Amino acid sequence: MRYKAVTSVPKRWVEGLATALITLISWVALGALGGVVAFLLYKGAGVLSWAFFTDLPRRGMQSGGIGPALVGSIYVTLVAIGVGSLVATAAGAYMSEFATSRRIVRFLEFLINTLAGIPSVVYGLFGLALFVVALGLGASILAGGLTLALLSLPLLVRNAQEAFGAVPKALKEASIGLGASELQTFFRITLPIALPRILTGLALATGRVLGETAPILFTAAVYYLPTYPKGLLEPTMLLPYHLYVLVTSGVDIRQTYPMAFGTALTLLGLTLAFTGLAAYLRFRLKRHYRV
Amino acid sequence: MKKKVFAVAGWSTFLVLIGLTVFLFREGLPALYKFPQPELVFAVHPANPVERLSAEAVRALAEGKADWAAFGGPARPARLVHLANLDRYLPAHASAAETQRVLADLAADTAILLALPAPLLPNAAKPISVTWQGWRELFGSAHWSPTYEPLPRVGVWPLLVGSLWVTFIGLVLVVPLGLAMAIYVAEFLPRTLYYPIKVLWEVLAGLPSVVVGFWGLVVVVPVVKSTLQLSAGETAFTAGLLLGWITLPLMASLVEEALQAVPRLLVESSYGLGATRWQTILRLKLPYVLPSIATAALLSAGRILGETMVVLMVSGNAPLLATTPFQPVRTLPATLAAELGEAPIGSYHYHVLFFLGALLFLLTLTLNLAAYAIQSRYLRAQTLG
Repeated sequence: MRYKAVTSVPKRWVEGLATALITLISWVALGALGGVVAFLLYKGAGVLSWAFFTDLPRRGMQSGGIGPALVGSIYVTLVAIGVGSLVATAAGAYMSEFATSRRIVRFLEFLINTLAGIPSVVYGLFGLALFVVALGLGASILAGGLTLALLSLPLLVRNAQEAFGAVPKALKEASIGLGASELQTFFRITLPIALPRILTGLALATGRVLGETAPILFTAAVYYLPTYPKGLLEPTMLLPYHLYVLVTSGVDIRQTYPMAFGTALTLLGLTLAFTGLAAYLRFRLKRHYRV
Repeated sequence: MKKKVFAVAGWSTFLVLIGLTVFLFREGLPALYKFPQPELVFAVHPANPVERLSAEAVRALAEGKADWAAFGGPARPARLVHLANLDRYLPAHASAAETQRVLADLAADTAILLALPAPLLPNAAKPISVTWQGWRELFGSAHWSPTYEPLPRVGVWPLLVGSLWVTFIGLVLVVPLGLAMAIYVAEFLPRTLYYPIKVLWEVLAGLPSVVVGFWGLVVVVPVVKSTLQLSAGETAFTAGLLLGWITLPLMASLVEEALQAVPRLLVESSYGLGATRWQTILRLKLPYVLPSIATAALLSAGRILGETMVVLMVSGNAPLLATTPFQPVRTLPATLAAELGEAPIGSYHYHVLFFLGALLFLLTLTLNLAAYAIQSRYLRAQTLG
């Protein structure tokens, strides 16, 4: 390789300009985020009321509320996070604690990265073919929840693996040294210590799952169903799909827009609450462990 | 053994990947060999010597672009009768007997081409076979209208090109801006703001795509329309703009982490030799993290390619072959989201959509594997060297 000597020193103002430019870019990109939140607050805050959250949609979705969609979203998310957290925590424990060879763990990590890159709409197709058609669940809360559980698996497994890996080795070894079995050590020492980090991951995944639209389009969501869901095997309205419907296929778009702003604000508020919670928890944990 | 339970859970990701592949291809591959309209019988006048037609020939005849002579029949343009245009010949609420009579009359025409369900077919008509070459239909045509009668058009190029335009615009935006943000946060941001800005990135990455799509539709689309003086603001450009924006955190955080990991020794040598901060960034750090930049760009491309709701809402949803990004397009994922709900399970349309899903899966998989390959090859080399 041949090297060329650098003889010129860049002008100070050129460097200053470059710094100013990237500063501007960074803050404008985040400013747009603030723009979205402010815009939705401005347009949607007036619609929000207790009745909006609990009422059924009325008059062709031009008035009333988003009760069934809100409840449907909560049910589907509960199924997804319930199933996903159990499987993912066990999987993370296997990868961090029980797997016998480093190569297996590397392979599983590779699989997780692969799964994480698959578009959510493809998970929707898979959920449709497997849960809705092959297993005969039909479009239902259960089918949608399971599809979203699969979707959140990469995030949750990776998080659980990191959580278990962050537990100080000395504690585990002390437990084993005192005569505890591997499983006793896991359930009494490793799991309790790793739990806060695992919960952080769950909060993050909850935020993601609540906002996902493409996977539930064909596995759980219905266009309009003005009743509260009665069972796991029933289809339901869901917040993200309801918003999509309000925006794109209302009878009179102008009339449904206030409803759409309210729904968007609700959805944004819910996802931000969970993402924010996750960020806050992680911040707290970092401070604890740095000691 | 309780530990077995953990092992099974550990391998669940493997099962998911296998299941996903199997189901996508099981439902998608029939698009290559199945006939789209198995319940239809194609038939001609007994005096017409034609025995077999390709799907293309049927379309040419139906649209009047060719007459029967081109396929060895009488030198007359074909007259197509199928379910969708039957009402042109039949009065409303026709009785079964009346339907039979009208169809028999029609079948007496030597230039007739019937495409009807078997029970409706007049006895005199001679059934012919129509061949369907899945590969050629999918990849040899630039038309996407999967519910077209009597035979669908399922050319995937308009959708692929739409996806490519959106991804291209998104990448043009996300790579330079993501780099700028990464450099700013890694080099110039006051440390007290470091954590808050990372949280904001996470929030931006976690915005529900349907909310972004809605905002795009209400705010960005009119702006794009008036600034660029387009007839419609819903274009590939608009979608790429929004997708580039929500992909910025992914790109920026990957590069930022790499920039922070440049060995101190190298950085301090650079400063020690008298290089300025920007010289160190441009001549040492960026070249050093080039593999990470490539990885981040590939992962961003995969993310943009697979995004569904934003594109569905702001790209105009026109499955036409776009020659510029300032036209309405329809991407692969948007097509799935828009049409799968209407495609009867097990129909040809359903299989074609799964075929598109499999295609999307393979495309994103390739991007991810490429990213993974670069990462594992160069990062190992760097830690050794």
